[in-house]
Amino acid sequence: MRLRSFPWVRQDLVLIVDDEVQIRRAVRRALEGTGHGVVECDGGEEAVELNAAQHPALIILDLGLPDVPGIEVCRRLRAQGAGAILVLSARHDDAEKVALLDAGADDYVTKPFSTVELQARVRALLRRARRDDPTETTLVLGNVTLDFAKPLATLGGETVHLTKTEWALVRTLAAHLGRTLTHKQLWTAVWGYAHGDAAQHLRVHVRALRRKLEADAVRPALLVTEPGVGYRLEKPS
Amino acid sequence: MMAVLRSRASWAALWIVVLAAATAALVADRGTLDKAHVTVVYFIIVTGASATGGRTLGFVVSALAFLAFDFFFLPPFNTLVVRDPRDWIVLAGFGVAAFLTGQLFHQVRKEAAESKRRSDELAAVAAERANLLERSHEAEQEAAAARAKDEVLASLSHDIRTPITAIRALAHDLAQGGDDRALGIEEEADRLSRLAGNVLDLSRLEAGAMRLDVQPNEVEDLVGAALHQLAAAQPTCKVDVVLDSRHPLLFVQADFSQTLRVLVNLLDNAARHAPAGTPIELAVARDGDRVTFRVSDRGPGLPEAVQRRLFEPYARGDAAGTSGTGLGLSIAHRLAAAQGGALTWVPRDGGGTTFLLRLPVAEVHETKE
Repeated sequence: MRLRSFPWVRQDLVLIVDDEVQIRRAVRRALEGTGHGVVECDGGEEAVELNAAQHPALIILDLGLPDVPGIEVCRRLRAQGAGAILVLSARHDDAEKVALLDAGADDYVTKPFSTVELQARVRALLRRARRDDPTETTLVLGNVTLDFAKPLATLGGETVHLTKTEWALVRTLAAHLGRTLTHKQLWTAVWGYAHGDAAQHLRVHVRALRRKLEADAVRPALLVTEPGVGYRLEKPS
Repeated sequence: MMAVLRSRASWAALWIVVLAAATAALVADRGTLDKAHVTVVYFIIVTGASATGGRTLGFVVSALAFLAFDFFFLPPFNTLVVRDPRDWIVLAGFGVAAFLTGQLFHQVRKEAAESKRRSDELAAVAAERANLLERSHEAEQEAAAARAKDEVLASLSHDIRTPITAIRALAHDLAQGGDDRALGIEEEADRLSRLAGNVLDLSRLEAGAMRLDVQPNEVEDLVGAALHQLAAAQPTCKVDVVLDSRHPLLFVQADFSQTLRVLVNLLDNAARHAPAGTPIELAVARDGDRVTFRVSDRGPGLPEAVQRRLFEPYARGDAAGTSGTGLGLSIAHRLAAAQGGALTWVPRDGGGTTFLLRLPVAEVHETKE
């Protein structure tokens, strides 16, 4: 899996899709000052048409649309080659979050979200969309350096030996730096298929990676767990 | 049983008296009577005895009638000797007919009793079926009511989030404009949202309808995620973590998100009650087929009034739910039980409280590359 980067995407445009006018207004106000133009609509069909016509860099998509289920809109947008997709959901169950990410969403925010939280997610997604694939370069995460070309990993200047599977895992996570990948996405990327003990394998390898790369494996700062959903690699602030 | 025996004894006495009386009457007029008359009278008596007193009485009365017939009515009289061989035929015919009559009545009575038993059984089955149908109907009604309640709560919990999001956004705008009341609006809006969610979860837990994704989850991953969430809520809180050195790779059989919720609830509670500067402790150890998470603080301990109702919904005391809804610990307690575990507490040596979350261990072995 690699970051999606489409030349036709308009980096200065955000599409807000929500049938609640108050939420559209709140999101629009949250985006004020970011320098992005905003287009809005209140249904899934119109969202797909607007995306095809205007190619926004980011789509903020509410799940509870009146015409098309949000997850279906997400799939269709992704199939069109959309920019980043941030989903707004009033439901909090893990299964739905996993389904959304597997359907192509880049991130989700559960209601009631704060303006600050929404702004942070939007900034992260737009920043990520502009960035080159970090696995083509050397990635520095705090005192950890990952050189994917050699490959070589160091912690505080000391070389750390990573196994083949651990490199595949960290490479996949690094290719989507800051984005949560579901267990299924990680299994598929690293192992190519999901066998019976895939979830347990994944957890064992994540634990091993943390013990090698984290300053404190019990308080992971790089390899973060998204409860019930998956893992993401974060750049320490 | 005694009533049956008394009844049989009465019938036996009656028919023996009847037989004796009939014999006496017949003997008095023996000279004018034909053997056929005697046979008919005795046959009627045997039939009556078999019909009312059962097979045994029928046989007894048959035997007595047989002997009386021979003794009093077949020459030479008043002896059991039968002189005329043709009388043997009469006597044998009477005996066989009396025996068959007794047997026949017995069979009829047996079949009647069997038929009555079946009929009673059928009636009992029908009554039980009607009872089951009624109970099933009641259960269906209860389930439908529970579903309706769940749907209303789910809908409320879901729908309330959109206006709360708008309220929060407006509060944010107010805060940007320098209105310091905005923070209070945001906090109360959050509390309302949590309350709606908690009421829904408690309702589902009490109805056994909470969906749980129970699978092997690594303890260190759970602890890390709990500390990550706690750090966001209580940035200054210090937690001492003690993992089980005997079992470096430890898995629990549990739902990750819900177990995390319980742990964060316990840690957050402990952080709120620990005096400033005292760390809280999170210790994890395997104990047989259970993994125990101990969350300890050096707070004031639980007042007696709180102890009794600690895990009851809305039992808010100093140590009640951290979410401010009075449901945190009651949900945690039910979540532990729903996953085959338990949540308990003990006073901590030296002051404070220790909460113990016990969950089933999952046997997972490290794979080698």
